[in-house]
Amino acid sequence: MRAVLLFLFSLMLTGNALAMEASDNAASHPLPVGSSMPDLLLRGELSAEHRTHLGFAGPAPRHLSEISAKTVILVAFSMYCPHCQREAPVLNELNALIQSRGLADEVKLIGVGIGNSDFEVQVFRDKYATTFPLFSDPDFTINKEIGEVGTPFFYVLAMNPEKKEIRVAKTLLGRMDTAETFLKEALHACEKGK
Amino acid sequence: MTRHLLAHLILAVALALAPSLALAQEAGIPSERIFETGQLKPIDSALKVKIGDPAPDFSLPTTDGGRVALADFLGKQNVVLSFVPAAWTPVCSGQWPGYNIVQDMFTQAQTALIGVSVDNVPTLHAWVQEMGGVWFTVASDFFPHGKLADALGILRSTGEAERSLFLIDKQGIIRYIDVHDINSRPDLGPLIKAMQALK
Repeated sequence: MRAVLLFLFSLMLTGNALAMEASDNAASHPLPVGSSMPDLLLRGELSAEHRTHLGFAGPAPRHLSEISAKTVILVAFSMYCPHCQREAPVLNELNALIQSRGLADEVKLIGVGIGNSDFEVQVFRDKYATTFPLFSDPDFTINKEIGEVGTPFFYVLAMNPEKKEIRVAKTLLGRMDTAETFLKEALHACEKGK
Repeated sequence: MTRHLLAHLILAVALALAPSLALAQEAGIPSERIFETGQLKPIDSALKVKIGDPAPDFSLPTTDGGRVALADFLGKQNVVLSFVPAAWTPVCSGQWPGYNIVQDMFTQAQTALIGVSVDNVPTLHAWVQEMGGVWFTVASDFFPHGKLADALGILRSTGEAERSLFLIDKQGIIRYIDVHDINSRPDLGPLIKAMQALK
């Protein structure tokens, strides 16, 4: 009986591991929580609406530190990653939640298309009617700076312009459980790290 | 009583496990099932065709149990041949799932997409199923080994095909070639633009 229970328990653990839903990268070494995020140079095509939303003085390329927000949620994705394709509607949900909670000025959601050209990012934007700003990373420059992460990968970043510091408050490899719980945990992580 | 309790437990675990297994089925390939190739010589062959040449004729077995031939498309549709070096390898496993979300672009450009590798049909079948399936035809250039790849001049000295794209128009003429560094994925943009220019 004990052996059967042990077997069933191990089966449950296996199932959960299979369900992580990420295109992982064996060489991945994400920046740990509490460390500083480099001031990434964000490239790509932005609409005038998204430029204004992020508080940019002009078109990309722009630095991460130029985003006017207390918290930036950066999601590393790829047009080629099936998990990211499935996560796309949930990302729009997360953005809608940020707006509906009145957090639009404080919390900004952005995506970086790892290994994706402007064209490929546009395919993703069009296919999923993405509501938040997306940047491209055709040569994996950003991905090298953020630890060659698998996709999707979430970095919740606490922005501190006075100290010229961007701190990693929370990370997640793979899809969110729900947009709501993720936002709650993200805000809590930023609050906790103050 | 014990048997009754055990039956309930098995049912509870099965119900708890079912959604995660279903998710794993539709997910991409877990990294532990991918063979890490490391960095390879970017290109290891010499092209035998150029833009403007007639494409070599082919008839290849497909993962749906049929065959696909260039003649099927002449006068009807343009064709893109997307060669990948090998099933179960990192870049290849991340290339075709991207094509899954651009089926409409191929349809609009009246272009059929055929994915090809030199793996045999059962291997290609298992790999594509593991990727969650693709909408386009997947064909095997396994036997005679790499015959089509060799006719195009993209058969590497180690027996794999180069990671490459060929766009063939409705007259059977090659209109676009991208023999890519085997270690990286070709940008979709230039291919789609070449397809759209054919219309």
